[in-house]
Formats: sequence, C-alpha cells, structure tokens
Amino acid sequence: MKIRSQIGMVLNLDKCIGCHTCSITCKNVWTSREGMEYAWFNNVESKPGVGYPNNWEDQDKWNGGWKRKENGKIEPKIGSKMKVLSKIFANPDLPEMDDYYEPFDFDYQHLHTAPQGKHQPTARPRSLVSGKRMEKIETGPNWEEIMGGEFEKRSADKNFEEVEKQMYGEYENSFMMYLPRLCEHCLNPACVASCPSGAIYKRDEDGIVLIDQDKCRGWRMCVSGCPYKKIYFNWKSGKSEKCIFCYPRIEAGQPTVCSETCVGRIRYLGVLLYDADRIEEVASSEKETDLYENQLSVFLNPHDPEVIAQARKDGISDSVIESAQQSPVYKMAVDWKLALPLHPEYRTMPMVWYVPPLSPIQGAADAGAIGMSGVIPDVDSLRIPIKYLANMLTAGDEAPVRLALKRLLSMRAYKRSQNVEGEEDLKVLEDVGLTKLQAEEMYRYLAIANYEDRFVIPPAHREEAVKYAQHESDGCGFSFGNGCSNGNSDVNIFGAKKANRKDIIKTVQIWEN
Amino acid sequence: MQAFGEQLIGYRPPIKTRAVELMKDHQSNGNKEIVLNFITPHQKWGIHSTYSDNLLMLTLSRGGPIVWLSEEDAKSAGIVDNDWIDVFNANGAIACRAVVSQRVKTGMVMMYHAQERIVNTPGSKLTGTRGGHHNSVTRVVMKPTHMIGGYAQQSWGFNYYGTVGCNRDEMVVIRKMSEVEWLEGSDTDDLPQALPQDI
Repeated sequence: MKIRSQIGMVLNLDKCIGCHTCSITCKNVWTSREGMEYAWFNNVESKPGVGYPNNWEDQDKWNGGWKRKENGKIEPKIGSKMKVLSKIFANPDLPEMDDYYEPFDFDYQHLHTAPQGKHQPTARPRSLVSGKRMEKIETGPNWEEIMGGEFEKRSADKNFEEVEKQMYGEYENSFMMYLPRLCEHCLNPACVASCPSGAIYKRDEDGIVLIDQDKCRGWRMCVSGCPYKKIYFNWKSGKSEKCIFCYPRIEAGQPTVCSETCVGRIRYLGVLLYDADRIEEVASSEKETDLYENQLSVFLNPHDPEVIAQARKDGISDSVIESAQQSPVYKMAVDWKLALPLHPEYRTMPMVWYVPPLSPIQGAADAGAIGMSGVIPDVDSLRIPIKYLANMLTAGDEAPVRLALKRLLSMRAYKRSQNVEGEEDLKVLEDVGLTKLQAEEMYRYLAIANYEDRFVIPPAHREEAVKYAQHESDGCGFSFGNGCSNGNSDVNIFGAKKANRKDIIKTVQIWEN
Repeated sequence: MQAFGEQLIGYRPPIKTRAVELMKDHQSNGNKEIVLNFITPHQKWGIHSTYSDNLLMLTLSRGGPIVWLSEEDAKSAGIVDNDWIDVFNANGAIACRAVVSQRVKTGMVMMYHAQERIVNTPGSKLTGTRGGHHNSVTRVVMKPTHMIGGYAQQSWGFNYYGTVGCNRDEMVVIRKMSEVEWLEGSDTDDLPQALPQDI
C-alpha cells in the first residue's frame, strides 16, 4: 500500500441555480487574455444538451479517456504511445473551432464614434480570431442555456442512451438540470498518458494535474485524450492550458475561485487519502458499472490507525491527515454515498464529484396517484429520469443514483418530522441506511453549508516549499514557457493568419514585453 | 374600486388592443406570419439593477437580443433556432434572433427584459428604423382605476401607469426576416474610429 493524498471537489447539483458566477470569476482570473478567449476552465451546461465543446461526451467521436484491451490492460482510447506518435501531425480526434465557438467581441467603440446618421448605431459582433466582422453569431459556450434550441438537437446528448427520449421533448415532460464542469484532476488522467512530451503531471502532494508550460510542445494530444475536453490549446502561445485547481490559493489553504464565489454554496473541497498502488487495477476493472464502487474502494478511512500510520510513513504530514478526517468530500462521496463521479466509464477515476439533483414530481397533476415509498415519494416519479443521471454519473448503474436521491429525500423527511411534527421519524432514515447522526450532519453540510464545513484545505508546508523553491530558483516565475519570454508564437490552430491579424479592440489587459 | 368591481382578484379576458389586426399580412415579406401572446419576464442574470448585457454574459447566452418561441410555433412559421425574426404589432417592432425551445408553451412568445438594442440589433423593415426592445411592442392600456389617487398599489409610478403587467397584455406577429438590414450606412468592415482624445 502506498498512500497519497488528493484534494477533491464535490458539487451539489441539487442546489446549482446555473448563475455562471463560477465561470465568470474563473474566466476573469485565469483565461481573460489573448489566445484563450474561447477557453472556459469552468463552464456550466444546461442538460440535456450536447454541451461545450459540441458533444464532448460522445467518445465514439472524440476517443477520449481509456479503453480496456482484451488482455485486461488499459490504454488511452486515442491509441498507444506509438500510435499517438504516428498521428502527431494529423490528429483526427481534435475538436475544431466550430466545435467550441468563435469567440467574439462587439464594436462598442462604434457607439461613441459613429458618424451622425438617421439611425441609432449598434455594436456589431467581431471575431476575436480573425478580427473580422461576424454577420451572425452561430454558437457559443453556453448555446443551450435553459433548454435553448430544438429538442432534436439537444437530445443528441449521450446521456439519453437507453432512454426512451421522445416523450421528454414534450412541453409537459420536459426536464433540465445544470452541470458545472471543470478539470476532474483524475486519479488516472488520460491527458498525462497522451502527452508525447511528458509535459503533464499529477502533483505528488495534492493530486492537482498541471501542464508544464516549458515542456509543452503544443501537440494537443492531451486535448484529444481528455474525455471531458477540459484542456484548451492557447493559439497565441502555441501551448495547451487547463484548470490549475487554483493551486496558488489551495497552497495557501484557500478554496478555488469557482468554489469561493459560488453563490449557491454548492461546492465542497476536501482531502481524500487513497492507495496509489491500486489505481491501475481499479481503472482496468472488467465491468464499467463496477468502476464507481471500485474507485470508492481505493479511498482509505482517515480515522483508521493503520491508515494513519502508513500515511505518516509515506510522508503525508499530520495536517493533511487531520484535514482528511474533516473532509467534506470523504463524507459526501464515501461515507454517505451522495456524491458520484462524472462518467466513471472513461476509466480516468475523476476527482470532481456530483450530488445528483432532485427534481419536481412528474405526476403532480394526477394528485394522489404519485408513487410513494413510505413517506417519501418514489424516486421514479421524479422528473429527471434516473437512467439519464445514471448514464452521467455511474456508467448506467441506477442503484447508486437511487440511493443518493433517496437519502436526500429521507434527510428532508426526517428534518420535516423533527421541525413540523415535533417527533423524529427515525424509520425513514433506517430505510435508507442512515443514522440520526449522519442525517444531522448531512443537514449541516447540505442545507446550512458553512464555509468552514465546505472547505477543509490543508495549506502547503513551508518546509516542502523550500524543496520546490530550490527547483524554481533559476526560473522566471509564472511564464508561458519558451524560456523567459511571454511565450507568444505565430502558431494558430484556427488557420487565421496571425502575422496580418488586425488589431482588434482589446477588452482585456494582456502582458506585452 | 368597489364601484368598478375591482376589489377582488378575478379573471378578465385579455383586452382587445387591436394592435395585431392592423399589421398582420399588411407589409408581408413573403414569409408566413403567426400571431402569438407576448410576455416579458425578468431576465435571468439581472439581480436588482445588475447590468447583465455585458460581453461575458452575452457570450454565455446568444450574443445579442433574443426572443423565445415554442418548437411547434417555430415549425409552423418555418423558423429554426437562431434565425433572424421580426416581432411586431401596431405599437412597434423588434428585430432579433429566435431561440426555439420546448420550454416555451405553444401560443406564446417570450422576451426577457433589459436586452440592449445598442448591441447586435439590425433594422426593422416594418419601421424603417432600428429594431426595438421588449417594450417596443407593448403599450399601457389605461383604465379608470389607474387614475384613482392615493395609494401606490393602486396608481403606481410617475413614468408607468400600471400596478400589474396584465394591462400590457399584448399579441404580436412573428415572421422570419427575409434579409438583414443593418442601417449603418456603408456596410464595410471598418474598425470603429478611436474616440478623439482632445475633447
């Protein structure tokens, strides 16, 4: 057993209101610069929908993630090391600009300086890639906002697999949910395995996956390898970039920007201890539906004295172990089994987990005809089909989704009995395997959601910082690679002529030498 | 109030404003025109007076003014998602793009508040001027109870007579635009002039 610690995230979809504050604050902090206009390290999708980039969940198309070979070993779906090298100059699995969207700005200046005329001027859109005027904006990073677009187009959503989807296109049966997405900082990252330059690495101390901007050569195999399509190619620097889990903040014991600014308080950050020796075995589980349970089995109980002793032996500091014991992620994912991983069937062992959302009762119109199981409504009567959630969160296995939803409902029923009827209904908890203590804690974490409960982040250790600082002593601090230059190059994946690029109105401050 | 029978809430059929009859098929562009009930809900990202029509928020929606309509109505008028459409009646006209969605009930059309016509808004063939915003096609229809003095809930505001939205209840005509006219003089792709610095 080799114990490692990782900082993970849980998102409580039951409380997400789709305000996009996470996306905006992340964009403002990390990707508000030339070359990254189209990149959203964090985005929020309206589901059902094909998402951003288009149809990212369709791995038959993109070949992201891992595949299990007949001999039981896994390899990246885009192919083995040799195969990746062989298609390094012509990668067929790469999303193009139309799969993302053409980033735009508006000619706001025109509103100030338009010559006097008969009509009020209007600011027309201008492409941030070509600098040319756009006649019409055809797509965006959130085109399907609140079910925008015909159901026929949105229902290309892969999560509809094995769901009779026709009826969900009707007004009366429509359903929707929000899905905020960011890099999953996987335990078994396919991007790391896909990189021909060895530029991507998973940090030893907290599991954050990063791209070394000095080593990245811009082959973009990681963009294909990542099944979540959460690596973005910076056309200005010619290198790939991704969510860095706000590591400067994490090191200081602060939550990521997206978590800090979440108005719905849906995000939780905490440490998980896991057995690093079992990653390969679990990622190559034979049945896809076992991947979720097996992933749970690599997480270790931070209260177990043997685990603590081994963790110390493996160099994990006591402050990290203490944080793991208080970890909201451990509670929600492992203890209560409320939080589920996003697409475990990609075999990446993702570390951003989701509490599935409750939804209105489908048959409220037929009063009295609602299926009940005890005092809580039958989860099958909820508007969002269980199979849809299962396809998204548990490789199609409905049982874990049912359990999570039932536990959410039971906690509510229990609190209702306590506060409204004045007597505690413990039966409703027993039925879903919860103790009173667990239910009270669930209430505290999910409903009250105090800052201190949501974010339990051990700050980086100064003695370790010295070790890393030595490594950085002859570096240039934060740069985009290419030695100490600002990393700009003339490469442009979108094929526009960068050299002749018109100067367009700069909406963001960028650093020039 | 009692004299007008208005002391209790009750159903009243929509007011006949005759804003639509005058206009339907009057200035046809060849595309089918349909008549729908127009509602203007509060926009999603406008908490209090937050300005929600900025570049990032427009990037996270459709990048300009939009009107939502149902899949059935869109189909009957030959409109697909993101088509330029005319929305109009005798009060005024809107020129914007359509969002086709199952979320909208058949028979109605919806335009959120606070969409700026200074961004990505073409001209309207119907008015010969730039397309309007969500209030361009509505008009407050006054009734005697609006003129009762006294309490605010009965006679509201100095710039808007109307305690509730129903007195703006309105129908609109929708059709696909035949061509998009920007009304910007020469249609060259010139960058806007810089603001003079010596003013």
